[in-house]
Amino acid sequence: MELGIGLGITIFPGWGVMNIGQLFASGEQGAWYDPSDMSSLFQDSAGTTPVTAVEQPVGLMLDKSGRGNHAVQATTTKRPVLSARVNLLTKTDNFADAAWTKSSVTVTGSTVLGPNGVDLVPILNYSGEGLIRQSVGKSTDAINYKSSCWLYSPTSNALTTRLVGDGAVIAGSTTKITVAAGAWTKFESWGTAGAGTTFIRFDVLAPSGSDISAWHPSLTLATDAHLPYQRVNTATDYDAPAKYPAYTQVDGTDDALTSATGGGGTTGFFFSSAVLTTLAGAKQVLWSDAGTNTGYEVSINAANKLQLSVGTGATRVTVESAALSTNARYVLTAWHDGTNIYVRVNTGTPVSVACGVASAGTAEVTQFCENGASAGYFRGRSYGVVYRKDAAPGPATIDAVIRYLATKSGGPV
Amino acid sequence: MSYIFRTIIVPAAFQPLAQGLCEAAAEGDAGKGMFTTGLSPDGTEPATHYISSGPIATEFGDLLPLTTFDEEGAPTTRPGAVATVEAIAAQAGIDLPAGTIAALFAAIDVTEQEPFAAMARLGVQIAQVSE
Repeated sequence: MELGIGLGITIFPGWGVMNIGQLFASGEQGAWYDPSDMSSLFQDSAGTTPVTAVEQPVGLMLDKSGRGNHAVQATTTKRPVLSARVNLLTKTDNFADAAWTKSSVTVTGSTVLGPNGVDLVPILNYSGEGLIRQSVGKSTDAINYKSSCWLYSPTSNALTTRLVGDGAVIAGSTTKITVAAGAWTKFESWGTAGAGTTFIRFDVLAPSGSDISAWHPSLTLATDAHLPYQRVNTATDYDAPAKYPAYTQVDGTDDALTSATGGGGTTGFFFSSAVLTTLAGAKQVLWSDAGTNTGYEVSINAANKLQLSVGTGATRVTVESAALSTNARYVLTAWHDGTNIYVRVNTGTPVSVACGVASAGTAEVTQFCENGASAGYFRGRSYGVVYRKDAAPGPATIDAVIRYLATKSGGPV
Repeated sequence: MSYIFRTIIVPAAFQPLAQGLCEAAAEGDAGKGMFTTGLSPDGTEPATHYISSGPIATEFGDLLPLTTFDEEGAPTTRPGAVATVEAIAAQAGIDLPAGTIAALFAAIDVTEQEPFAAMARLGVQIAQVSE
C-alpha cells in the first residue's frame, strides 16, 4: 500500500513509513528532486515561469529536501523536458484524422459504439487490400516496442495489426485474428525495430470490402506496455494524470542541470535515482561533484553498468554492477559508508568495494546528467533523484528510498 | 514565452559565430553556452561539428532555417530569416562580412529530429573525451 506520494511518504508492508524529508531532518546536506511535483518545476532558471504542463522545459528544479540545493540550467537547449508520454502515436481517439495515413481506406461517416459502451468510433471502409498506418520517428538504436488496439468489424473478418521499421515488417510482429462479427477484439503486436531504423510504424490491415472500426490504439516502448491506454491528441496534448509516471526527458547531447551547492562529503555519500536509459555503450553521468581524483561520480559506464567512482586524492576507486538494459526502468543506488562503496540495482544485492575516506569534490558543485565538462551526457528519463552528502542511511532506509523511487517510475523493484 | 523543439548541428568552423549569435539573440543567459558538445565521424576528437538540441524560444526558432522529412525521409528545407539575423548581429555589435549569415544558414542543419537521429543522418557521433 502506498499513501501520500506527493508528500514523499510511502508505506510498505514490512518496511514501515518512509518520509524522504526525514533523510535531511537533522540538517544533512543533499537534495530531493521530484518531477511528478509540478509545483517544484520552473521553465526558466530564474524561477519566474512555472512549469504548468507536460512537454515544457525544466530550467529550475526545486530541492524538496529543505536544504536549498536547487538544480538549474540557464541555456534553453540544455534544459530537460517534463514528460509523461508513453503512447507514441497521435490522434489516438480518431482514426478518421489525417494523422492516420489511409491506403484504399475511406471514412464512411458512420460510427459504432466502442468497447466501453460510451465512445462513438468512426467506421472505415477498406475498398482494397488497404491499410491504415501511422509512423513515428525513433532514435537509431534497436528498440523493443509493443502496440495494442481494439478492432471491430460487423462481419467476421481476418484483421491484422503489425509493426514496421523503415518499411520492413518487423519479424514476429504480425497479429492476424479472425474476429467474430460485431465483437470488439484487442490486438497486440510487438517486436524490435532494429539498429539503424529511424521510423517505427503501426499498421492496421483488413480484407477488401470490409468495414472496420479501431479504438484506443497504442504504441509504446515495451517497458511501458503495462500502463493503461494513454489518449494522445498531439505531442503536447495528451492524458497525463498520475497513472502515467512523470519524468524529465534528458536528450544525451547537452541536457544537464547543476546545483551550485550540495555535493558529496568525504566519509559518506548516498545517491538513488529512478531512471530509464535509452543509450548503450557510452558513459552517462547521473551525478557528479568529481574533479581529478576527487569527489564522487555516479554513472552508467560504457559497459552499461551502474558505477560509483570515488576520488581519494591519489586515485579513483570504482565499484560497478552487472550490465543494465536500455529502455528498462531501474532504481539505481550508490553509496559510501566511509569503509566501502556500494552500487545496487533495484532491490538486488549490493556490490561493494573497500574504500576509505574520499577526497572532497569540486567546491560542492553538483552536476546532474553530465560530468561538468560538457561530456558524459545521460539520455533517457529521470523519475526522481535523492542524494545525501554525508553519512549514508542504514539498510532499511535505503530499501525504503528505493521503493519510494520505484513508485515514481511505475517500474518493478 | 513559448518554446519549440529544434536540433541544430553546426560545422566546427561556424561554432564561435553560432554561439555569439545565439547569445545575442536570446533573453538573458538562455542562449549562452550552446554548441558545446562536439561531434565527429568516428566519435573521437577533434570535433568536426557541434550540436545543441532542445527547447528554444519560438520566435528564435522562426528565424532559423528548418529541414523537415516526410515518411520516406525526403527532406524539405525552409530558408532562414537572413536579413533579420544580420540585423540582430549588427545590433549586438557582431561585425560580419556580407554573406556570412547566409553561409552559416547554408551550412547548419536545423531539424525537429531527435538529436541522435539527426547525428546518424549526418554521419557523426558525439566525440567522446578521453579520460
